[in-house]
Amino acid sequence: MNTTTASAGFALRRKPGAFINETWSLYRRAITKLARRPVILYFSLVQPMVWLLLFGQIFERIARAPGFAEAFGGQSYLAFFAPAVILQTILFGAGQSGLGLISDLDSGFLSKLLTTPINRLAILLGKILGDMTRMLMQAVIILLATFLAGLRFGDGGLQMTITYAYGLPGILAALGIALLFGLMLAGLNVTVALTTRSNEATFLISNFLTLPLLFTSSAQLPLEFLPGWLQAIAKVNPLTYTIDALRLLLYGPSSIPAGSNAGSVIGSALLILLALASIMLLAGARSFRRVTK
Amino acid sequence: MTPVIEVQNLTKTYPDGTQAVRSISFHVEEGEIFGFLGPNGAGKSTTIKMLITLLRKTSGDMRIMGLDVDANPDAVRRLIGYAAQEVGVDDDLTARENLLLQGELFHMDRNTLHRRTDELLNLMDLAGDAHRPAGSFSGGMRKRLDLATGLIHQPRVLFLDEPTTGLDPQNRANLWVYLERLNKQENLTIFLTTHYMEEADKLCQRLAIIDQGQIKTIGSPRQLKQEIGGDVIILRFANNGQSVAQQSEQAQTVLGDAPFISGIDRFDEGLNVYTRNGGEAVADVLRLLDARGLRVAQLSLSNPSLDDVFLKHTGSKIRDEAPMQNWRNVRGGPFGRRR
Repeated sequence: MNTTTASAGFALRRKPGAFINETWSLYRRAITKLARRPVILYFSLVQPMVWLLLFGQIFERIARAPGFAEAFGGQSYLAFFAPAVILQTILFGAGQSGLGLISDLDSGFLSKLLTTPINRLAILLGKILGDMTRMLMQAVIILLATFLAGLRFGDGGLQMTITYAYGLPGILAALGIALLFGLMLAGLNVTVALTTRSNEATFLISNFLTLPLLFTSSAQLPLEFLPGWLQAIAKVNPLTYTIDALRLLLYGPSSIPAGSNAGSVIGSALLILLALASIMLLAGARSFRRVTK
Repeated sequence: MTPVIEVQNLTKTYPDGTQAVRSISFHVEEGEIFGFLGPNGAGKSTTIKMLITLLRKTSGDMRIMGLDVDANPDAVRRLIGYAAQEVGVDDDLTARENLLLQGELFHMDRNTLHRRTDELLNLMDLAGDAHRPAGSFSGGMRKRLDLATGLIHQPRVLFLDEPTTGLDPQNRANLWVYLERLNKQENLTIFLTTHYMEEADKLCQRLAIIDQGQIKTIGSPRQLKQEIGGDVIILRFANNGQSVAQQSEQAQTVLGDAPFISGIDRFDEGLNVYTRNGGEAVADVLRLLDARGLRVAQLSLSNPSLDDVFLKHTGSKIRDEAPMQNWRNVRGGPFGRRR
């Protein structure tokens, strides 16, 4: 922002930290809202638990079947499936980013924000950061539940059946990738919400994308278990890349398809997600600017 | 002294060609409550949105405290407060949190912000409910909180778009009291739009009548009503073989020549007849109409109202919406004096 000298005789200069302060205030608002709606928080956590434990049990034997274990990286199906549940939760929850903006638009709250001298993008950023926080909480809790479900009582007392190949750094890196995936979806949903300006449409579109994306990827089963045509689709589905990267960072090289190289799995996931997230966020910012013009 | 708001030849044409505002000019002095009175779609909201930096003008000049609005949007935003027709508060946040958030966005320092928050909560009689979420408030309380959030940074002028639409008559009258209090205690200049005549009459020191994007007249409510002079006899006709329009036209011809009548305006259901002494004229009017076989379905006699001013300048009556209807039924009726 430039210095504006008002003819009324005072100078207005935007302080360098102004944008950060504004984003912080709006981020705090988003978090407060989240905490005040315990029902939403509760169900956004309970649903993934149901998926995790139910699916984890249903397919458990497949991962143990002779000759199959290798495809699952020698892990339990629960462990194999956990990264998929994280992404699935983010997919289902991402619609929220758009819905919040529409309700601010409808309620007149946005108009009020726009008559304050803040940087417009702080509104969008505060909102998206709030959603990322929710996603992070969900991902951490799913990882925690997976860890607990993987504990067994054996000869020497409590034992871990899931091995985290790279320990905490690997887990943190996996969370980072998951958040990048969430950022991309938040951008997409903001764009859809601000373009349609309708809660119903946003909800429908985000749900419409969720299941096909999940089922045409390696989320439920290793790629080689899918029919040929589906494998072809899965190979261009960004979800496959994201999920492979998560499995690699959590459980090590044995969990990714044979013959793929660890560096290229992480590299291609980062590249694809960074590119898509940038595009989506730019589109989101663009549609936001159009609405707030 | 520089007026708080100065508008010259302001025009807004939307991309689809709609001319929402057509070259309007007006000014608002410091400490004044100034209103735009007009029906929905008259260009009131468009004007207010341009003044509060939410919408770009097509042409013309807008200044607030001498500042060109389009050239200095951020500086102008510090000088103005705004409350939209919708209540722009966050229902999940408490009253206090709503105020603090808004103040933070103006980068107010902590002490000033907290002092101002308490001050506004007291002024708006919300101090006792400061820690309740706004979603649990009644319509009137939410509206008051909305006003308070628009005032947190001590603006010099407050813009209100249809401030009492959606409130019941009691809450509406209640809100007027708060607005007058703000105007007096904080010497706050208020610009408001309304389609309620009663509101314009009660609150505004001066008002502009706006219709189809144009300002038809500007003045104090009293001035505007005095221009009409004397009393108004309102005649309404009903369909009885002959259409209302035909009857109105005939009646206008018949009465147009009467020396005691100073003017006649037509509206959809009948005529406004202006005369110096309504009480005396009623009998003559009815006699003249009766001689031509014209039957009046409803007649009322009153002092000129802003509705009559509106009719005179625009050729149609402004239509109040539902909530006012109750008041009309209580206070007036056929042959009764109106509000």
